[in-house]
Amino acid sequence: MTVINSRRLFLASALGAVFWPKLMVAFEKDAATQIVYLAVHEINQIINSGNTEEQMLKSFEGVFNEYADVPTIAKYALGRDARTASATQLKDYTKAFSGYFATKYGRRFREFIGGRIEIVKVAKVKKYYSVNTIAHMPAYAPFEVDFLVSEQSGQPLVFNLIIEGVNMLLVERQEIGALLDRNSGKIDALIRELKAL
Amino acid sequence: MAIVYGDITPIKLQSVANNMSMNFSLPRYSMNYILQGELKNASKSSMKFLVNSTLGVGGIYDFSSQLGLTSEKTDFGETMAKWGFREGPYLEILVLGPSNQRDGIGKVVDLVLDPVSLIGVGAKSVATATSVAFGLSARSQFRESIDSILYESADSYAQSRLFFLQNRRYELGTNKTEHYIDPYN
Repeated sequence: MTVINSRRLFLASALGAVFWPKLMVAFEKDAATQIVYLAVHEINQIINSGNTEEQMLKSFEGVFNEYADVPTIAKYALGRDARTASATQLKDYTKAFSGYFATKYGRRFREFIGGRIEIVKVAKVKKYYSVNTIAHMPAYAPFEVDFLVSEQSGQPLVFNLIIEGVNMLLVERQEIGALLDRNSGKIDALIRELKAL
Repeated sequence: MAIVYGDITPIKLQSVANNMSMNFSLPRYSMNYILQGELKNASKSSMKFLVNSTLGVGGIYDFSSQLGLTSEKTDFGETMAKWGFREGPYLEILVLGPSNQRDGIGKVVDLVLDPVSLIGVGAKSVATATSVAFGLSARSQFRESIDSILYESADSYAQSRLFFLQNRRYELGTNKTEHYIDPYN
């Protein structure tokens, strides 16, 4: 190797070291936007599909499981009790939570018909990406929804929503906590109730 | 009651009531913006009040929005927040709904010191009537979402408290320092 070549090599690798993290950030940012874009696109299609509510709820649960980190969201909502639950209980609970969540939020879809969600900007915050969107819904003034995306599960997935400042994870932890209290702290009873809701 | 109002009152009449209510709120916004030191916003809302009261026939039409003149809402609760008052405990005020100590006091101040009452008792009573109507139509628009929190929740008090406090802090921009949740740890 000549002197010039090794110098070039050095220069190239130095440049690479400088720009590689930036490239990575751009790439992850794109991945976060992409996942929200796809989720929003599918939700828009469901809203305007003209299907029955039952079909829409089923499709929405599919989208929820594809683009959101359901096990992490469900576990957070369960709080401290997730530590004492058995693996089977946790699995059943996560499944029940997924249905409960899809039904609860999917029932709002009727109000969203004819609406759309617009992606405004993406920002890296600590270990996650915040994808800022504006929801334009016929019955409401436009409102802000932030989709928080993390790759900590191994792939980019939505782990939280902030709707006009209201944190979905906190809302669900409180609600699941109240449901658990109502069932004397018994996880199996909670699972049965979630399935019945 | 809100649902009945929403169902029987034609949309056009509702929007007239909403426009008038909004117009009567503008002097209050101006007053609060001045107290907050936000002079640009204060002149915007004053300008909007002048345009809508004249060209918009006493506020029936929101003429200024077509000219691109908009004004953000504000209130004395926000003014007190800017002055450094803490929000105090959460309150549920009869009829008015969820609030906190600071906003509760703010509502009283806004009611007592409303510049519209300077115009005369007549103007103030029209303002009150339209704001009640606006409250009803806003509530009927959001009824599904409000209902879902209040009736479907296992603990409706806790949920409306959480919703109100977080949403209010977001509106005032005082939620920036709030602890972020990392469910992966």
